[in-house]
Amino acid sequence: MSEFERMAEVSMTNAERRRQWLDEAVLAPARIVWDDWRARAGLLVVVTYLLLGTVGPLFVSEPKPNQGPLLVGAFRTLEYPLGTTASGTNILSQIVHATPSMLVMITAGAVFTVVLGTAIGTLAGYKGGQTDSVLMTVTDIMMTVPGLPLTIVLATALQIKGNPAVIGVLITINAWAGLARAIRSQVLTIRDDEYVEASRIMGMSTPTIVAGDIIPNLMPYITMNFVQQARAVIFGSVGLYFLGVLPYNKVNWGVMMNAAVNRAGATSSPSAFHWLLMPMLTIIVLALGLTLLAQGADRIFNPRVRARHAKSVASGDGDTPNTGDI
Amino acid sequence: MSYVLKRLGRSFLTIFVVVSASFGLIRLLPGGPLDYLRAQMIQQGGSDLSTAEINRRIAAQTNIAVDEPVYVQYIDYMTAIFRGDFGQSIWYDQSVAGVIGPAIPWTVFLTATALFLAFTVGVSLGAFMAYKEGSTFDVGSTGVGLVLNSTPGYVVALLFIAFLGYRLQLFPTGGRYASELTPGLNVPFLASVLYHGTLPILSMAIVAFGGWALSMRGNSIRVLGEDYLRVARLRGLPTRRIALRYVARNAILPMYTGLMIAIGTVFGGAVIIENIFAYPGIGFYLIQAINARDSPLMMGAFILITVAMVIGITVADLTYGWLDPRAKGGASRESY
Amino acid sequence: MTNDDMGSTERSPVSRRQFVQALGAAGVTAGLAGCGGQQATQTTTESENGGGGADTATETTTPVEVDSESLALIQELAYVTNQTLPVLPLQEKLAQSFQTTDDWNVPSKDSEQIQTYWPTDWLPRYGEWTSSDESSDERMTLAQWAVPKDSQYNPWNAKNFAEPRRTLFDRFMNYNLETQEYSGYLVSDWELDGETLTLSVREGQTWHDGTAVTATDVVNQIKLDIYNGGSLRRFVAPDDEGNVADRVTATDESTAEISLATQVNEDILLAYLQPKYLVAHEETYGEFVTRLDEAESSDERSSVLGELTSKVVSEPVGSGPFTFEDADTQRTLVSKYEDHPDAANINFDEVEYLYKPSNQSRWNSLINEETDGSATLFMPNNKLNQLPDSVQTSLIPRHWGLGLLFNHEREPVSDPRVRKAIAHVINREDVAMNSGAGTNSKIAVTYPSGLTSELSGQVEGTWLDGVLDKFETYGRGESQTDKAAALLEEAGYQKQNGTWRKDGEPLRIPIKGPSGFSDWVAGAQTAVSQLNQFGIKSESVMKDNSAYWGQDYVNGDFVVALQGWASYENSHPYFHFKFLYDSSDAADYWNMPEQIDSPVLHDQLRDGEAVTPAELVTELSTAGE
Repeated sequence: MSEFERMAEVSMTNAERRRQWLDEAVLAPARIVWDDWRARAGLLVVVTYLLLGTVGPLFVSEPKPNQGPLLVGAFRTLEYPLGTTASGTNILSQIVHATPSMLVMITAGAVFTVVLGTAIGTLAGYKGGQTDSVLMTVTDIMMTVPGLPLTIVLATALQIKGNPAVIGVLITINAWAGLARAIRSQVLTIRDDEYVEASRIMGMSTPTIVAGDIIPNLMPYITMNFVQQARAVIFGSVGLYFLGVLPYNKVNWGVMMNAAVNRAGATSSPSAFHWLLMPMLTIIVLALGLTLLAQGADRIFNPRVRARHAKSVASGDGDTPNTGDI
Repeated sequence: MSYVLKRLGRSFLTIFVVVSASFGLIRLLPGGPLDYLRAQMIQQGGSDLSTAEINRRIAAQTNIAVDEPVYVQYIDYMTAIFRGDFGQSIWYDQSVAGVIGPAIPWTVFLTATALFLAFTVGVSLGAFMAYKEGSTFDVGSTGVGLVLNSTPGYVVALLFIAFLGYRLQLFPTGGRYASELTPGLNVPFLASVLYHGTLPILSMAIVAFGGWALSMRGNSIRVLGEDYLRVARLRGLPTRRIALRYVARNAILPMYTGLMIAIGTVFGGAVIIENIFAYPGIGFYLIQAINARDSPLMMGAFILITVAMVIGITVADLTYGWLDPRAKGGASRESY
Repeated sequence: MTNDDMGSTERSPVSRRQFVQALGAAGVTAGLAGCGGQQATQTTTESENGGGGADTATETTTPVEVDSESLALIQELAYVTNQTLPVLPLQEKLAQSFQTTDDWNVPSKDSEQIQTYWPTDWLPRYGEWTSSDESSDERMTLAQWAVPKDSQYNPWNAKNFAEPRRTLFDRFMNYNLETQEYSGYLVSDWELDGETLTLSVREGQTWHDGTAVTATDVVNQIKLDIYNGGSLRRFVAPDDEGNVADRVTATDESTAEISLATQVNEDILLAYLQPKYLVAHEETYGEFVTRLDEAESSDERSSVLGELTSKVVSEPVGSGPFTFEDADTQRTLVSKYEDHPDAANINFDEVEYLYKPSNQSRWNSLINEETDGSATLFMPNNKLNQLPDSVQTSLIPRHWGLGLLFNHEREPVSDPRVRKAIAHVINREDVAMNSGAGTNSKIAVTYPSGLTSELSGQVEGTWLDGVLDKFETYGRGESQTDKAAALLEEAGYQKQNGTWRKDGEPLRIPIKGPSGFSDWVAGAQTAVSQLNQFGIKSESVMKDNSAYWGQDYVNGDFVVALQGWASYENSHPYFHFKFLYDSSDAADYWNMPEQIDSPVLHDQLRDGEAVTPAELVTELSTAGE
């Protein structure tokens, strides 16, 4: 990158900056996503679930006992396309009506992780010194505590109610630490870039620099993490609901699986197996969608792919550590 | 060397914080095992204990006055834990170590075997996929890897139980070994242990190997494109040597930290699986303890799982710089 | 590979049938076509038949003998319950009990002998459950909940007191559920004379170490129970535990005597004694009895009790028909004790208890005939259909069942009119049907009154004979919305936009319950949906079992809670009313006021609407003597 280009960036107007940000952070990723079939499929799945969770409940009747005969199999009747439970509840109704609270849970967990992880990571990386050292010590401690057992212990000790947002946060209680670590090392490489240096010399405040210069560079990475956390929340929450260690006041996929196994012995009863299989498929399809989307985000993260799609590229040296083994 | 000391200090601090937090959590934990007893009694319809008796005992138990001031209790607790004394399990009326100790090898057997399988199969498959990049095999395997990576282990476990356990009756659906056998180094016993462990191990391995394969594939492809490899080829080094010395080594290295973290999870990685298979390992007892409101047992299991994790990550951190000469000094430690 | 599936280390070759099944399985996962379940048409008829149970309720039985004074008190208490609904009884439970018939001779499921708690305990002792001649099954296989290796047999420890107790120890007496009469067993005979109860110990009974079973053992058992908070204490030593030793004594080798503090109704006294197992073996427990007898203060007694309740006895010496052999992680083995008086009735040598920690594993071991029976186990219809023909399912009245419990200090259910409105709205037949999951093991309560034995017709035939027309049914199989609406309007509620409101606030009825009691959860969800349909904002809040019983329930942290509505241990109405009006549960957890207002049934018993039901319960305990 030539000296001239750097000068040009610094002297951009606000409007230009915004346009550039929009192009970098939103449009270029969107183009990349649409260009890749996997990402496209992932997006399609996620949008379907979003629709299921928002307008779905308006079209599908609320789950009630005795909606139909007991234990109708899946794909037998149009009225109960996914079959019914041992109480005659329509399984489709249960799955659809469980979606909103699952979405809330997933979003809460992912947002919590991403916001906290990004905040702590950027702060530590940018500030350095004492702040860095303290924050990283806390991060290290949180990172080494095993997540699922911690969630189980906390859920028991804290007497949480069935609020999905709280449960989402609880399941990702220490997931932010890994993200914070990764973000920090990214920030460390960006921090000393000349254009950031320039902003500092121009007297911009730390929050402005972080928000304007640093965060946008990390957006693709953060997006990828958001998707991964979303998946982790689904796996964790459904697993714990299935074990019966989380409280609930509405039906959800994990509770359905628990009921199918404990009330009808679904794993050993062909006539009740659909009751277990349907929520499991619901989870797998959503997780697959998210995985595909994360692959797309991974490509966004790859500067070479990105360069082909962005009209303007801000920073060049985007060599990043491999995180494929998360 | 000061880095090593600093790193060890940090690990010790982590354990210290976790144990302190568990002291606090135990105090937050409401109820006691008799609540569980009451629940069990009503649910199973078989107990011969009267409600009045249960109530009286619950009262007696909650009335136990804690005379010492909190800081004395705290110091007692901490010293006991660091001496390896995790207290008495209330539900089992034996020491926590006595309950968890015998469970450890079983959990480690499950998780370590599953990890070994997933890692070796995943890495070999990933390397082969990279070698055949773009082929039908590569595309197909990537697809399979993606699907498996999107499936939680407990879903696979339930499907295994349903089809291989109940439908076909090929494998047992729970337990550690057949009851008639004498534990020890005899063939029928070991065979039975393997037989009973097959489904739990496969449930964990199958969902994990896809991830390893995909990482290995990505890393290998990246390494194959590196300049030094081109140089090596130009120098006319044997293909076999290139594949092993250059490609494999450099592709596996970035996964090393992940592997160490995975090794750290051997104690706590099977909580849900162990419960599905009624396999009495640490995770099984953790959930038992939670259901029975047996807080000493619960926190003992939790502390043990944490310590294992801390050790795993510390070893990973300390050995990484030694394995990868490029990663000396500060910044590269942050690679995970 | 059915029976020793768990033990088999070799894989048998896949049979053709299994291969076909595998293909089917693959088809299910791959195509998903025809996945699981049943044809919709098949189940319609089942769901209509299932759970109703009204037809069986008309069955006539021998009327239970009861004196007129007791009967009047019982009717009055039932009426108070029916008119004020401190709890809403929804259904009564029929325990499912299983017996395999191909290798075993057992009475048919309709026979009178099977009506006992539980067939696995009593039938072998009476020679009515025997290994059939042609079978080579020398071992009866049953199931247990706790890990066999962790099981222990100190009943005062209570934890992990595992199922083998049923064959290792003998109960004091037997109880006939049909006639509600007691018959002797380990305590072969008894006599209540005023304030003295004399118990005779069965002749020729020995402990498994060869020592004779004496009256002292029986006395020790009763004393330890009393010291440990047992219910008999209120009749024996209501004021001071210090004189228990003087009041429960052995007068000779085979006679024990209990001096009561007051006159007590014999039925009630026996109900406390009957279920006791004789466990108090001198060598194991004698020192505790001595130390408790000699304790100077209640502090000293508590510390001895503390030791007793944490003592673990993993290799017990019993006096039952089977003696302890060993226990590992998978099973407990007990073998026949030839010196037991009933040993001649038993023609098999061993009983083994396999570790089966979940309902599902128990269902499957009955289905593949790994186990030979089960004392009691809830099994849903889809699993019952998988049982081989040789396994019979007996239904035994449990005199207990799911009810809605109201917190009497919490709005809006502190108002009896709201409680009654809820009762009218809920269709109990629907609740019972869903709770029973297609089986007819749950029967809707016809008269919510605190009286059990819906199945045998004793509510109508005996307890409420002559006063039945005064009792409200609240619509057993329907939602009586008109009556409910009238009651709510009277209580100040109005229906606006489909929701009942008072001062603009919607009427909310959250129902809490234990998530692990899956049959209750299904019942509660049915009730919730009925209430919502009627315009009451209701939701079900399910907590894990320990959290629910340990906190929400005991702290009274609920508006409506799920709980059994009758005494769990005994079937006599006294115990049910004692549980409803004179128990720590009622006072501490449900915040029941001592005095309530209720219409009067028998005006010779009380005048005016105000009534203290606990007083009537106390009167009942001494009535008829």
